[in-house]
Amino acid sequence: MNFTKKLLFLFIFFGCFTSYAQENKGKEVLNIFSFEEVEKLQQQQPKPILVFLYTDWCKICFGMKKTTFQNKEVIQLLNDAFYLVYLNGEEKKDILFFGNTYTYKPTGTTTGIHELANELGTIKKRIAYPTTIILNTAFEIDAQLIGFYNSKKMKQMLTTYLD
Amino acid sequence: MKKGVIICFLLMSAFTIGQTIGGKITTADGDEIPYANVYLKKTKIGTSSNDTGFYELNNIPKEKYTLIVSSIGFKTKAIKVTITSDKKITKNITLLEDDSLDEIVISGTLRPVTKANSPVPIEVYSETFFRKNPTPSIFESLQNVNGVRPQLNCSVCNTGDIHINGLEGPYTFVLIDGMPIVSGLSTVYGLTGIPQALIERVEIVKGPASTLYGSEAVGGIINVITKKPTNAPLLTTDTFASSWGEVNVDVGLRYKASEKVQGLLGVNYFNYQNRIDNNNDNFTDMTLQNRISIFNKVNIERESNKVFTIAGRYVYEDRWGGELDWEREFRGGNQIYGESIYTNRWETFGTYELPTTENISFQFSANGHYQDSFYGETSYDAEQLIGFGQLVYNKQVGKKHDFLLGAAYRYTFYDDNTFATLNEDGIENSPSIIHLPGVFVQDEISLTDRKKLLLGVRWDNNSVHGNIFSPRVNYKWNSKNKSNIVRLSVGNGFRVANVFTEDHAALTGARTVEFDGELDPETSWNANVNYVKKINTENSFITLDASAFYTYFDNRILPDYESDPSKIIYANLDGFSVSQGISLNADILYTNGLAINAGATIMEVSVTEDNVKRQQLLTESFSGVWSISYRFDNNFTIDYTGNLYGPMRLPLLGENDPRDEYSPWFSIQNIQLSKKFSNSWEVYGGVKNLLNFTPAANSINSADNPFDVGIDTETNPERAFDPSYVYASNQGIRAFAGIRYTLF
Repeated sequence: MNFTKKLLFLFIFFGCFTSYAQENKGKEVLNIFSFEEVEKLQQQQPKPILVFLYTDWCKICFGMKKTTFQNKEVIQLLNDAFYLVYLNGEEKKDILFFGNTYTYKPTGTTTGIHELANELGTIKKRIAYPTTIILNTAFEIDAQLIGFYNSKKMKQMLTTYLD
Repeated sequence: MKKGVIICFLLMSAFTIGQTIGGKITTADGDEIPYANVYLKKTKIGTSSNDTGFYELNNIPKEKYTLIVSSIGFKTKAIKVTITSDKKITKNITLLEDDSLDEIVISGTLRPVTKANSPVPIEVYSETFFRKNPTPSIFESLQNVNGVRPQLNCSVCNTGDIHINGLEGPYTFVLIDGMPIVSGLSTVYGLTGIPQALIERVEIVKGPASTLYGSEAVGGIINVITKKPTNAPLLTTDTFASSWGEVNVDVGLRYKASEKVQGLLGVNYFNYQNRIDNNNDNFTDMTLQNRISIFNKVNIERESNKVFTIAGRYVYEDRWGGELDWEREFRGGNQIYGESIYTNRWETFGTYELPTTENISFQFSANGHYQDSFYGETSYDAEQLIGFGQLVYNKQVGKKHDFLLGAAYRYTFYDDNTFATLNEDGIENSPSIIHLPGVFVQDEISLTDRKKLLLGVRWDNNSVHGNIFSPRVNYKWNSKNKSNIVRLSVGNGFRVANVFTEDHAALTGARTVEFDGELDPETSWNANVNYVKKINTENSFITLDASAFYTYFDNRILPDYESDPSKIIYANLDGFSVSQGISLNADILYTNGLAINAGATIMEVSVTEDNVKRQQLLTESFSGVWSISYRFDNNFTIDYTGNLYGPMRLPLLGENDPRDEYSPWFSIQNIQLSKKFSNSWEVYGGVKNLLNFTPAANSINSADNPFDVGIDTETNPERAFDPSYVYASNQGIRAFAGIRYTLF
């Protein structure tokens, strides 16, 4: 096999993989809020808050956004009974929440962590991504769940929380 | 839908006589556990505990069951239950805390292989990735990365460089925390001194990245990011030993010097003192080494919330290889052959963000490298000092433009005892001093949400070679759902070859070094295309990555071993050189604990001179790499890692050289089993080089006559002693075991 043939072969091989792409097309759109919005909404209609703590580089987080949070039933549950907030653990902007201003704390030139992520996500002095946090209507942490939750587990967790 | 099921169940329960199991789930301390999963094995009956820890399972037919209770952070419990009567069974369950929480959960703290959200394709490899095949230094660890190959440039002294996509070490820019401190002398001698324990992650950019890092970064960049005092564990120790007698100890300690000053101290010690000669050439198979490296990094918290870190590192290494009966007293002599290198190296680097409202940072580094060495009778003493400083100004203009402006200055002092640093008269010593001021501008333009364009230019003024201008363009496109990403990059490179510091073979004394005319800088153009596809399902995360690369050199300084077997001739290339290829990588993670990372690179690196095209020496046309890990429920993990390399053309001493012209296809495979006992303790062990592959026993030519006694190497070049290169390590199959202790 000469060089070009090898290349061609590899492209075809790769093409086979890529054709196996899939997308969830949920009809209902997931409502995602910011902390500022949630604070206002809480006064009108109190609901527990689900904070999904992620980072840009976290593959599992990306996967969860693409699968768990695209599941129709999960979307329905979240839209109906929760306020969902996506929190980037490495967010650079200040976040005003519950009367406090939380800022980004750099630990190096390209690394750091947002204070609010630290506040909400820390379990045993450590932070893992993704972490799903449930805050009750009084803004107290009710649950911190580390790691991947598929839609089935997420549904189960949400429904038991609501019961 | 869900409600329907519930209604169905309610109706059914009216007709069937259902048995019920219920109870409370608590911790050992009596605290209730909410949202624990409770189900009967092999049935569809299941629920979760409510927020006070109570659960109830209804409508259970009479039979024997296994009740499974699990909750994140606790050990899963299985209880046998037999339902005979119609009475409600009460089962209160206590779950034990699972300390190894982070290990059973798939989460991003491990920094899995990923690419940042940037137009430049950056590959990130975590500390965990390298732990799958533990090695004493980053140099060896990089063998686990697709398209990257550590090459041993010295059969006897086992020093090497890192090839990225077929381009040799000097084209690879190695940085520590973004500082260019591994260059010149240390491209060959510096990498073994970077201990694993300090590494948080390694970022690799394949292809040109000249604008930010200087025009030398033609082949790619390896950026070693060290751990930070703020997020490092209080204490980490990692010790391992192999059946060959290698011992590696790593200790990391986090401390608080004051309220605002946090520090991280790391010590690495590596020792290997066994004269093993399994291939019976009377030469040590692996170089004996004694190495200590001390690292300290301090983070100073400031009121302005800006970064201020300073780090320092010191390395001392004593390594030698040679004939088995070599002793220190024979150093430099002509009785018993030995290559002995003493290395002293210090470096310091840091970042200080100016306390201005604008985002300006000052980065600096300095290092000194002192080498005292003998290759047989040939002595090589060298000294190198590098100072580096740069100011970087980052400014967001509007929503679309992210500007980066920088000014850098690099000072290089180099002196050795060879004719490379002699005056033109050839008598007086005149060390080489190079000033390299430069400026760069980069604009990252967000054309739309999904399209990014990065434009950059850099201008340097080399005090010896004059102006160097390097532009670059990067483009990134991603699909709406961010699952498909395409990146394109074009850029150029410019590099001044320093034969002695970069090419170890020039020093072994086996051949005479000759320069054919004044060596000009090397110039090159490079283009890369990269495509990333992410596929996510409920139980798997798949990232596929394909790259094609092409680099054209219109000048290249290559050692010519072939025109005259007794010489290495360095000359400007009268023609061109091309490096091209394609690499594929698949990273698959299943939620059941299986993780697969596999990649392959096919490439062709050729040199065309006088219309004759030849394959570059010591460059494989195919390389494959994989690591497959599976984590069992009981905290056992098995890692199977390996490489496969295609044949490489080898430098021979003329037509009559008895050695093979090509290396065979070969594969190095390793297996490791590790077990976590708690959050703090982990033991691991395994076998390296399972297939027991070693290079040909005659890889060192004329090993029985290292001083060429009674041989006219002009007429019989093939009988000369030649330990210049070896294509793989002489270390065959061996066992290893280690233990890690971490205290948070």
